[in-house]
Amino acid sequence: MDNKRRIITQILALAGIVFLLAGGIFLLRSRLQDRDSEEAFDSLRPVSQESSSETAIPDCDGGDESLSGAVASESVVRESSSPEQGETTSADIVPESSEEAEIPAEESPVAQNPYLADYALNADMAAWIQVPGTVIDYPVMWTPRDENYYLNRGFDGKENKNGCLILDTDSCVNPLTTNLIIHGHNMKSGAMFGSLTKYADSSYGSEHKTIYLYTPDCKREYEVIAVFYSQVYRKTDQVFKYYKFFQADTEEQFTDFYDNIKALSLYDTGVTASFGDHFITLSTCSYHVEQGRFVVVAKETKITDIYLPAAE
Amino acid sequence: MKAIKKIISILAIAALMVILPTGHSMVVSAAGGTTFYVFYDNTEKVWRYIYGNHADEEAESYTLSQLINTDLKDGDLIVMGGDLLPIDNPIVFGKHLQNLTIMPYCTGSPIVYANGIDECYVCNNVTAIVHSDVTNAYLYDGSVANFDGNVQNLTITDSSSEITATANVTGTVAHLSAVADGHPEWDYYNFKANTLSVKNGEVTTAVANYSTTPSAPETTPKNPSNGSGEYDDVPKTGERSVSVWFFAAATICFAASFLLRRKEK
Repeated sequence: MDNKRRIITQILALAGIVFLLAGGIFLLRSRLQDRDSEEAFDSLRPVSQESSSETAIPDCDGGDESLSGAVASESVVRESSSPEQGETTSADIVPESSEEAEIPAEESPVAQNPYLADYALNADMAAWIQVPGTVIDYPVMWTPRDENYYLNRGFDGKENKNGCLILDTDSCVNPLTTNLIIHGHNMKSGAMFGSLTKYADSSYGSEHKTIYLYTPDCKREYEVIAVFYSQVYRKTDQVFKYYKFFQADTEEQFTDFYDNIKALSLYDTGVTASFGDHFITLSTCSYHVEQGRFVVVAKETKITDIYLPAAE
Repeated sequence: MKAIKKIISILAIAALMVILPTGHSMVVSAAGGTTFYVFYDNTEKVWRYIYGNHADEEAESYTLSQLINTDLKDGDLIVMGGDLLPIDNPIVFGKHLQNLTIMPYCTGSPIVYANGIDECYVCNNVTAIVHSDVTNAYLYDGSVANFDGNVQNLTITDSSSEITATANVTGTVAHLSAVADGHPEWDYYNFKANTLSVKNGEVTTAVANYSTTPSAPETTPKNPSNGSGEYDDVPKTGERSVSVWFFAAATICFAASFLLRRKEK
């Protein structure tokens, strides 16, 4: 009996050691993945981004909330944002004649896309998102064939629990859909969208209200319009589902989404929108309820840089 | 054999303690429900509650987490009052409430989650966001309420001759009625999901989205909290901590080994 008890005691102790080691290994692996992920993203970030703003086409808008920028580029961009008109290449975005543009030619060297090299490294990259003053400075991947492919993979495709930010398969950059939904992990380390929930604080929201999205053809600026808690519902639930809104073909569809996000918003951001405006929606997990989500919606306010098409 | 049985018992108890959330306790619904008064302590900057339905400086108060994690049960009643600022985090009651009342003239905009509410009162000049299905909702003078769920009956009452409340409902609404200065103003029925909108007393929902007669609704309102079926396919963006479970298992094994060794001695 004593022998049996001794054996069981030893087995339990051994099992404890094994579990302890396993836990330690997983913890170490997790920390290494955090480090690898951050290093990988660091290597993708351009050294300096001041050059893009220095050579950017100045806004000709006088403070209107609608899209601003050179007249020709603005009109072409608006045309290209309509899905019915088919795909638009970057060449279409560049003003074709100086007499159409309000900006004198000598002031308008078109900016160089600071993430050109990153697009070349991975064709799945759809955009780059940056929220000044936060850690959110990441590529956004788009894989319609498998929406979750980069959810637990790094930019290089290797397994990493931080994953990448992913653009919802029903969203599209070119042609631009009304709403771009970007999903990202709520990492305890604060990485990815781990700091997104800070937007629940209105003072944080007003200090970090600007979001930049660098697409292959231009740099888009957004301003936060709504911040709210939500959740993933069952398929049969008849409620407002923010994650189902991608395109507003009618004013009614637009108003439906707009009214709901404003109603749900934790605070009034002072930003309004009207039919024709575009949005970006940042979504991450929240633990306030089962299947909870924390959502930040921003409205596109202007295009600040137009980029040259990539050389063939 | 006895030792093995003991080990299994210890492991089972320890596993239960690990798997269940910290501070979780068995929930027993009390007949009639208990009423709690929830308020924000501006001095200590925390949410607190007392037993009862109104502010009482003499009563002993507790932190809200204790209410949510331990004391609150299905069928209880919640009264919220005073200065409800800051509202930077929603309050997740996580239970089916018999009653939720937000007292008149509360400042701030409480955001509340519940697994169903029987009676919800949004009193004078209060702004609230309620994430739950509600059976009977009542709005009063100048109140603003957003319901993220289905509402069976929404009644708006105003002491003046004009309706002044504002309401939005993301789910369906079976019946909307308004009474101003004791006089019935309107009775509308069967609002389609995500259509009910009342702005400063005016119904702005398109006529095609509701009925003026109480005919049977085309679809039975669904309860987002208690529905069955698959969830929508949305990327899961939470973070799993596998290492925590391994450390918990290691703790259990060491504890069991230690206990056995003590017994041996």
